[in-house]
Amino acid sequence: MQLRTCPPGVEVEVVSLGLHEAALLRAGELGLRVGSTLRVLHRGPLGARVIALGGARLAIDGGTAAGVEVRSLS
Amino acid sequence: MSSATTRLAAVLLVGNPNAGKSTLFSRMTGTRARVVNAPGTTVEMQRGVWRRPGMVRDVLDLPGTYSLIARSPDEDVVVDALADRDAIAVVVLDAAALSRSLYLLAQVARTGRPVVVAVTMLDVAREHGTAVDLDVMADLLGVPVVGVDPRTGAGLAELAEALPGAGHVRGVAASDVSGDGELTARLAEAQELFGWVEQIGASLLPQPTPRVTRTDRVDRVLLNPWIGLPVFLLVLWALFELTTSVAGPVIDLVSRVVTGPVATVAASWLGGFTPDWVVGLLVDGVLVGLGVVATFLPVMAITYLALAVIEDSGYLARAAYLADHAMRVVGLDGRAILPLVLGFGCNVPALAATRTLPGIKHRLFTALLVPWTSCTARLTVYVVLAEVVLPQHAGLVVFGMYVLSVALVLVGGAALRLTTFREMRAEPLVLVLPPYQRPRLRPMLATVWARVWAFATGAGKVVVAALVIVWALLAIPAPGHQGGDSPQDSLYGWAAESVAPVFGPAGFDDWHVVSALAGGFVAKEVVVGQLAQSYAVDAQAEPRGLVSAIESTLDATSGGHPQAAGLALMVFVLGYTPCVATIAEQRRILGTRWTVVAVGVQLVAAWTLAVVVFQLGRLVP
Repeated sequence: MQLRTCPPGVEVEVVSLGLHEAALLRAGELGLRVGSTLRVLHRGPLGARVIALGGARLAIDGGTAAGVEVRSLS
Repeated sequence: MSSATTRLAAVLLVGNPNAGKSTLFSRMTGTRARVVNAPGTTVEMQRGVWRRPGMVRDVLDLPGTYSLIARSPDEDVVVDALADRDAIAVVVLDAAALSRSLYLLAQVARTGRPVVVAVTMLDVAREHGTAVDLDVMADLLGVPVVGVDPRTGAGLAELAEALPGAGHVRGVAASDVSGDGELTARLAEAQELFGWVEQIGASLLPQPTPRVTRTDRVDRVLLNPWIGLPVFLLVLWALFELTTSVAGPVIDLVSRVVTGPVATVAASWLGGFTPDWVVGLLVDGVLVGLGVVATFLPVMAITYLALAVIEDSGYLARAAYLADHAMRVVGLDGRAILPLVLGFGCNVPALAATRTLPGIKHRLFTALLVPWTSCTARLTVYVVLAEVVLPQHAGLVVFGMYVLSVALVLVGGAALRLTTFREMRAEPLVLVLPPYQRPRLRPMLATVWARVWAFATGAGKVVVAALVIVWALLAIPAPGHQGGDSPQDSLYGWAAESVAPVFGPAGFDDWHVVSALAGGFVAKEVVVGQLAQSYAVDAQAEPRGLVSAIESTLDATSGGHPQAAGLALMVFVLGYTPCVATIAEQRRILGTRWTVVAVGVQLVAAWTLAVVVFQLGRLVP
């Protein structure tokens, strides 16, 4: 499923990242990589999400969240 | 200098944005810091001296970065600075986001620089349930690791003592980090470092148990669109009020003191032993120039302090997230909303606010658009001219200028994206939200002082030079004149009269108007005063007299279409260069070449719009 459809509270694992190379590198540098485990904290407008990656918090816009395929761990 | 205080190897502070690096820098250097541009760039960084018993070190606070695979001039600056073979890199690791920080540490290690690790945000990490053992970390990394709290200064002495032990990080071989080469290759290299980070992280960090932190609870409210957006608008409104209503009286006071008692005393003292022209140069040129700079200092200090509070508290990233969708329309980062809103108060602090943007391209792009946000100084001109254009609906005309201002920003942004900034695509938003923290006044004041000083010395030179030139043009008689009190008799008036025909197609080919517009280059506040002076009308006592005089002039210059000419003049006032202080601040941010281009584009756009408005307007019966 896409990250943009995940409700707050669920824990997921990143399966794939549909981003262009530069964005893929930056996302990876910020900790958002294939295999990362994350928790959805807040829902934003148009599919935006705020996620917890360990102790870090990241905000992701709806377009980007649509490209992040995840698998539920909850 | 005694051997006890020998200047030792310089310290380069490297770290992620919001890791506490700049607060640590302020703690190290106190008020002995300067904001400087990195060599050959307009990327700002802070340079200072760290003094402790037996130790004096230069410290460079490099721009915050997540990576040394440079994709922006800011990141290039960090990479270039790390090429200094004699310096020690103090890598600031955010304990609450250790994985991200370790990645940057690995990249710094690859430069071959000796490293000391300073770990911040230990209290936040404990709250997250991700506290780390610094001794274990030091063993794993093979370099000194010190816990610091930049907000209180705790751990600073230990950090100073650790510097001589700086070493090379275990398990990371030195290699090229210049950022050259194909992105695919860089991605593969990054994957290697991700592997190292995961290995270190697994040894250091306990498996985190999900915890709802204080920050999460606050975000539940502030990032909720129904509550967060009104709160965000309230913050914008407060910021706007601070730079207008609160700073306004201070600006007026400073202006009155400088042009009143200070100028009188200086003129009378200098008059005792220097010729009149020297008194004129020093009082009406240099002193008035310094006065203009001084009037901006309070508003700059207030703006920098307010921005520091918003940034240090962690709210700026939330504002960027909330405004992101709207700002994407212009192709900008969400944070760009702050300078663009501030611009409607005053363009100078708005330009200063572009420093909160994450990359030089975004700063450049926004700084080029800010002058088209209609500042309150232009309002004084609109109010008078609106009475010429549509006296019964003057308020509506003024409101229309603000709508046009927003349209200019949008169209200007679109034009930039289609031309010079073609390659600046809208990047996906993956934004780090730092934990909320209570801002600490002392380090903030040190940073504010360094930035205000940089404005005073950097922009101040340009402002004073411009006002000395204006004074000289006013003091030198026009060709064929013996001199006199009227600006028309001066070289300034002569130049205005010579340039006036350029504005014929816009309907205001007149020396009164053009000389006032030239004065508007110095400050828009002087335009109405200069018009009143040239018409010999007391604008305060008889505002209608000034309106009638302008109307009569425009009637003559427009062939009987004063309303269309008045509207064209208003549009020109909105579109051309706001003031000399804006030019000076743009030069600090953009560099000379970009500033010259920006001023040229503003003039051409303002003239073109004014001509279009007049030519269309005069078709209206």
